[in-house]
Amino acid sequence: MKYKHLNIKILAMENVKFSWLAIICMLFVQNPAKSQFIGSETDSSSSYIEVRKGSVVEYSLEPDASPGEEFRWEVTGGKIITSGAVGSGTIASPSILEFTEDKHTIEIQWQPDDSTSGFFTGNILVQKKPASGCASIITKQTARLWSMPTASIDKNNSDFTICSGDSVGGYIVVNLTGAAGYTFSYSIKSNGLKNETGNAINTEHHTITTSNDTAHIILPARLTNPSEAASKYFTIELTAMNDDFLGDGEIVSGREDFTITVYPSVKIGTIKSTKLNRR
Amino acid sequence: MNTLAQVPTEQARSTDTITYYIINPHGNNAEITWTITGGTIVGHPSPYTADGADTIQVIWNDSNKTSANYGLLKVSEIVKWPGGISCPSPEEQINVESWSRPKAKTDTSDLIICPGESFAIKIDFEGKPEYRYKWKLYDRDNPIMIIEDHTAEFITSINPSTDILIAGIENNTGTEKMYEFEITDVQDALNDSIPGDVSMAGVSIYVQPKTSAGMLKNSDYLIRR
Repeated sequence: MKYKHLNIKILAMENVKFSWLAIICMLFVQNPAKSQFIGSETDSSSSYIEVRKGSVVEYSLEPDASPGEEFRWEVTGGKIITSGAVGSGTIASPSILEFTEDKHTIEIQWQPDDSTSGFFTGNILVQKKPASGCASIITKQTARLWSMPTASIDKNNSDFTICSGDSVGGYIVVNLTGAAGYTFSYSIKSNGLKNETGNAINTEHHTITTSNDTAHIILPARLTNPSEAASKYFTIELTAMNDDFLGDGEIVSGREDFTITVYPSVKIGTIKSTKLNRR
Repeated sequence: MNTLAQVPTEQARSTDTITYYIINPHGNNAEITWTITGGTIVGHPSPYTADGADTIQVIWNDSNKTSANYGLLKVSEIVKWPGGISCPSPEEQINVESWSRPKAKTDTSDLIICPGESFAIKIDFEGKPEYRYKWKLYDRDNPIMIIEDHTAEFITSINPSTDILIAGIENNTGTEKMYEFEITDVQDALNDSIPGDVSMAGVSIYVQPKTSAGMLKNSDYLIRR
C-alpha cells in the first residue's frame, strides 16, 4: 500500500512496522520456514505440461525480467536446484526460491522416477514483484510427471527347465511403465525346439500396443527337443519399449528375457532278445 | 433567598451560544456578578457585574477535540434593601463540560493499493465519546456501484480513532481504477441536533490493475505421439 502524502507515509511506516512485527511473530510461532506469496490470486492455466520424473528442466518467464524485478518460485513434485532454494518439494515442504532479483529462470529436478504407470501432479507457482508497484498475480502451471517408459518381464516369471515333450502353456507377464499407449516389442527364439503341433519354432518378432500397464505373452502348449544329445532353449526377449510420448523407452536390465530349457529327447534303444533263430 | 436554575455539571457544545439565568425577584435592586472560566460571556468581560443582570449568554471554549473543555460559571448577587443595607447572597456555580461538534475525518489520504490487497482507513473522531458513524465505498466512475454500504445503521466506536478494515478490491480492467470512501454521517454521545462534520472524511483509493508474472516457458516437455 502506498500513500500519496508525506504525513500519511509516516503513518503507513508505523503501520508497516507493526505489520512486519506481527508477521514475524506469526511466522516464528506457526512455521518459521515457510513464507508466503503476496496475495493469493492465482492465474492457473487450464492446460498442463508433461515431463518425465527425474528430469531436469529449465523454466523461465517471458518477457525477461526488468531491472529491479524480483521473482518468487514455489514448486511441489520436484526441487528447485537453482541456488538459494529451500524445501524438499513435497506439499508439506514445497521447494521455494524466495523473492530474488532477476531470478526469472530456474531449474527444477522433478521427483525421482518410481517406475509407475500413472502420473504424479506437480505444480510450479511464480510471482513477480516489481521494484515499485504491485506484485503480480501468481502464475501457476500444473505438471504431470510420468515415469520413463520401461518394459520388464515380471519377477515371478523365472526361467525353468522341462523335459522334452512336457506341457508348458500359460503366459508370462510383461510389466509396463510410463504413459498409457504402450508399444513394446519382443522376439521369440529357439535353437530347434518344436511346438505342440510338431512344427519348428522359428524366430519371431512381435510388437504389442496396449493401454494396459501389463501384457501377457502366451507360451507354447508343449515343447519338444528333437535332439537326443543337447538341451535346446526357448527364449522370449524384450527388445523395445515406448509409451505415448515421443522418445524411446528402456528394457529393464536383468528382466529383459525369459528362457525355458528343454532337455534332450530320451530315446530308448531297440528291444533286443535272445530268442532262437531258425536255421 | 436567591434561586439559581442549574445542574451540578452541564454538557454543552462549544459551538453553541447558551443562555444562563437566575430567578431574580429583586429586579434592579440586585447587583448580580457573573464570573466565568473556560468560556466567555457574550458582550461582557468576566467578571461581569450589573444591576438586574439576571441573564447572560455564554460561549464555552472549544475542547481539544476528544476531551471536554471544563468550564466554571459562578454567580452571586447583592440585594440592596431599602434603608441602604445591602446583603450578599451565597455564591452559586455550575460546572460545564463543553465539547466540539461531532466530526469524523480520515487520517488516511489518497491510497494506492494493489488489486486484492486489504487496507485500513483510519478515522479520527471529535466530540464526546462514544461515536457513531456510517460509511460507504463506491466506484468513482460509477457512483451507484457501491462496493461496501454501511449506511443503513450506525456503527459505534468508543475510541476517538478507529481503523476501518476493507477487504481487497479487485481490478481486472487493465488500468488503474478509482474508488471513493466516504463517512456519510457521524454523531457523538451528546444527544443534540448538531449535525456531524464529515467534510474531511473521504479518501480516494486507486486500485492498480492486475499484472501477470509472465508466461512460463520450459526447456523440455513431453510430446504425445
